[in-house]
Order: sequence, then structure tokens, then C-alpha cells
Amino acid sequence: MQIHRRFWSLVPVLLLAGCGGDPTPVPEPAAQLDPPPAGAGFQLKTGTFEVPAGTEKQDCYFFRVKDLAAGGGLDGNNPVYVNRVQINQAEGSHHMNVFRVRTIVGLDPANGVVQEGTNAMGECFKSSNWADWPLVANSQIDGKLDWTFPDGVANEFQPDEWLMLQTHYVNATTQGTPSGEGNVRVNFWTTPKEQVKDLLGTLFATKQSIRVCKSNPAPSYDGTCQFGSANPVNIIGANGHFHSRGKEFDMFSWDGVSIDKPPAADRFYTSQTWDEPPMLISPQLNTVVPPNGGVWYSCGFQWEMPAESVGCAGLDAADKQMAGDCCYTFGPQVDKNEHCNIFVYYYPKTDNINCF
Amino acid sequence: MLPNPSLLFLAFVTTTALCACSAPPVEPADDAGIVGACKLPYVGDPNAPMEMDIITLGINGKIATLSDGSDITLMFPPQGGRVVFAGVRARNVNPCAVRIAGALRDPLSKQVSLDNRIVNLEVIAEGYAQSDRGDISTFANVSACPNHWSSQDLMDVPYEITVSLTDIDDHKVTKVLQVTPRCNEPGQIGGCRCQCDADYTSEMICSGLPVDAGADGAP
Repeated sequence: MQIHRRFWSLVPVLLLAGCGGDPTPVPEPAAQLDPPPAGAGFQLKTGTFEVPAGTEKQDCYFFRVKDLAAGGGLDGNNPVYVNRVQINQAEGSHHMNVFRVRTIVGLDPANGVVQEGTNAMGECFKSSNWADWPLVANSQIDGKLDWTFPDGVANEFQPDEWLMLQTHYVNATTQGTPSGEGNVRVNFWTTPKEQVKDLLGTLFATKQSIRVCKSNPAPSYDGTCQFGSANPVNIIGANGHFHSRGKEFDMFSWDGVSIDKPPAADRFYTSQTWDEPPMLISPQLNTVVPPNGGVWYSCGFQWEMPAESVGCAGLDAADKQMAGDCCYTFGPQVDKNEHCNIFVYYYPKTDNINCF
Repeated sequence: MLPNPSLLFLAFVTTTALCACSAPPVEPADDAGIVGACKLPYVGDPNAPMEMDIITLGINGKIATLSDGSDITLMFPPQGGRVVFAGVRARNVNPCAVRIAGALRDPLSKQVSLDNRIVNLEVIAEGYAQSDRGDISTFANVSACPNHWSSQDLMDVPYEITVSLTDIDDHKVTKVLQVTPRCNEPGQIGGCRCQCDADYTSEMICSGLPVDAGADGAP
């Protein structure tokens, strides 16, 4: 597993884009990622789309597994087993998630395979629409990933399953999209069923009842989520997601019964950089969680004045509680909202787990 | 492990780029106020021990004080699933930036689900400070369902609830009670009983997903 950072391509961007008002923006090239060879896997892709200045774009793309498999030269009538994930996105991605579609609420592939949202408007922005959709793969701002699971570990997909690729690009105050265009490509490489020893499971946990307010400027939120396994499980992928008021994000291996925060020695993930959160993956990450254990996670925030373009008036207007306390509340818009989400990949799978 | 030289250079370039063209400092806006200015008064006697009851937010926003043997409603929160809203009513406490730690424990397996958070309490007329009935973020949102963690159904059998309150001066009080979670929120009973069943798996389609949590996608 490797994370590819296009270091040298970033240097001129930093030098030139570091000063506001630079007359010659340096656009990033569109995502470049060839699909796997026929019979070796398949690709999910979005094509190029515009992300104009001052906008946040969040679009949902639907794919049926049998169609993807057949397009990749595989048997579309049988399950496929994915053991390598590659992600490549044009710069400016805030996040990208791939989910399995479960209960249909407001997002239905029958309504179109592409459903767009802009500036928090549209069904693709409403988390209630995918509340029970298990996570399959994700990336954050870095936007690039090449991860081969440990030998014998694979994620199983049924032919009739729908997958939803959700891409969120931001071209606003706290984050930019230099080229003004987004583009996402995701490769799923497959392995024969006979070579699979353990299935991969995912765990998604979120704190949505959160507020970062002027009168309570340094809140923190802790939560837990169990794997429900009578045997030890191996955590082989993890990343946390919050926005710019986030100061420290931690995850710990947890025994499932203690109500005291686990010791530092059990911490397997920490992030103090909201805009470049670590995406830990195997082989660097391989944390064993004891039987009946789980993950303890913690998000610490520090309130700060909102951007001038938003102001406390903008935050107050977006606060459903109308507290008038200049609060950042849960939501997708990076200038106005906060998050506290964890994405964990593990094996052997007990279930795909969501904790609210 | 030594830092990657490329990343070190990237940090240098970033720092240089930012320093070379730093903008003048932004003056705080008039409405910035004093950062961290929780202006709530101390509630009660600072020389007396802190007192606390566990309260819960139930149907129609009704607050109930819990005692041993109480029922507690599994509520359908905006984020989905089912939670127990575990809050506090306290006195002899500084209501600013208190830590509320709530936990629900399966008495058979000893497995626990918990939520800890730092909040300001609401000062109420009777000489107490408490979790604000109009603000669910001032209650521990203890995630109960989907039931991935308990060895038994999460409804209609006894569980143990633990709530601790710690104020900014590190005064702490903890209470432990036996309660019985109930799927009794009108209109949400079927989905609750499905998600809270001991045999729940993510392959099951339970009704009662959030209807509209608003434009608040995750992440």
C-alpha cells in the first residue's frame, strides 16, 4: 500500500498560489488513471465537471456492480472480490466516498445515474439519504490512493448491488480547486474467489450532534463503535474527517467495556491537520483489536472567527437552533460546518458497521 | 522514523511562500467578543459538593429525571439510528465547559456504548443548571442502535446507564442507574425494534431512517 503524493507538481503550485491575487493560476491536470486490464478489475469514473469559484459541488454517481464487472471483462453474474483500490482525483477534492446502496430515501439510482448538488442544495448533500449505506472506499483532500489489501483479504460485491460514488469539490475560502474542474477515477482490482481467505469489513462512525460556538470555544466529542466479533480483528485502514476548526482527531483500539479513555499506547491514529489528514493503510497500519472490542474516537475543536465572507451572521443564519452564538454546526460546507467522522477498514468482516 | 526529505522541503517551501507574501493581520470583527466568553454564573454554593441527577430527553422534547428502574426512550435523532439522550441537572457547579460522559451498558456481556462531550449547561430558574432541552448537543448522544454491540435486544430488558459530570475545576460526580430502554417513540416503533434487535445486521432494511436531516451531508 502506498500513498502517492505528487510532491514536485505541488511545489510550483505552492510558490505561485501562496500569494492571493496571482495573475497566472496553475491548473492541475485532470485525474489520470488507466482502468485495470480486461479481466483484472473495473473503473468507476465521473468525467470532468466544473467547480466554479465560490461553489461547493457534491455529486452522486451510481453504478451497478454487474455492469461494472461486465465492462471490465469479468463475469457479471457472479460476485466479485476486490483486493486493490486505486483512486486518482484532480486537485480540489474535499472528499470522495464510495458506498453500497441500501435503503432508498431521497437518492435513487432510478432517478438518474448522476445526481448533482451545489452549495448544500440537492439530495446528494443530505446525509439522511445514505444513513445505512455501508462504506466501500474513501479518500480525502490528498485525493490519491493505491492500496493493495493483505494477502487473502478482499471486499465482496454482489452482481445486483448498486454502488454510489460521491464526490465533493470545494472552490471557496478555506479550500480551492485551482483548475476549476473536478475529475475522479477509482479502480477496483479483483482477485479470484479461491484466493480469498477473509472478507474486508468497514466501520463508519459519526458525531453529528456537535457545535463549536463562541461561548464554548474548545469542545471535544468522544464516541465508540464495536466490531461485534468474538475474535480479534485487524484494522488495516483508517482516516478521520473534520474541518478547519478541528485541532486533534484520535482513534484508539478499545476493549468494548471500559468507559475511561484508552491509554496513549492504544492510539493507532492521530491527525492535527484538517486539510491533510493521514490516510493510514496496511502494511503500515495493522492494529489488532481484542475480541468484542472496537474503536474509541475523539474530535477536539477550537472555535475561530468565520471568514469575512461568512461572518457570525452567516453562521447564525445557518444555525437551526438560532442560538445567536456564532456556532459551527454539523454539515458539509467547510466554511460554515464541522464534522467528526471516522472511516475504518478491517478484517475478518463481521458486518459493515455504522455508529451514530 | 526520519521525515521524508521531500516532505521537509515541501514544508520549507510552504513556509517560505506563506511568509513571503503574508497579508496584514485581520482585525477581529466587532462581533467577535471575548473568545471563550461563557458568561454563565456559578450555580449554587462553590464550597458545597456538586449534586447531580441524570435526566433524559424523551418524546416531544420532554425532560425526565431518571431513577433506578426508570424506562428510557430510544430516540430517533437527526443523525439516524437510535440514541439515548443522557443529560444532567446539577447545582454547586460552574456551568461553563462541563464534560458530560454518558454510557449504556449491557449487564450480561458488560459491553458498553458511550458518548462524552464538553458543553455549557443552561441555568434554570430553580437554582440548577441542566442540559438544554432545546439543544440535543448538550446531552450525551449515546448510540444504541443499530445494534452491533449488545448481546441482547436493546429494548424491554434492563441496562445500566452511567453518567459523569466534570466541571472546569475538575469537580466530578458520577451516578449509575438501572434503566429499561423502550422503543416507544410514536411513528418510529417498527424501525426501532428492527435496528435494536440483538440479531440486527446491515443487510436488513429497517424503516425509520432520517426523513430529512437537512443539507448536512457527511462528510
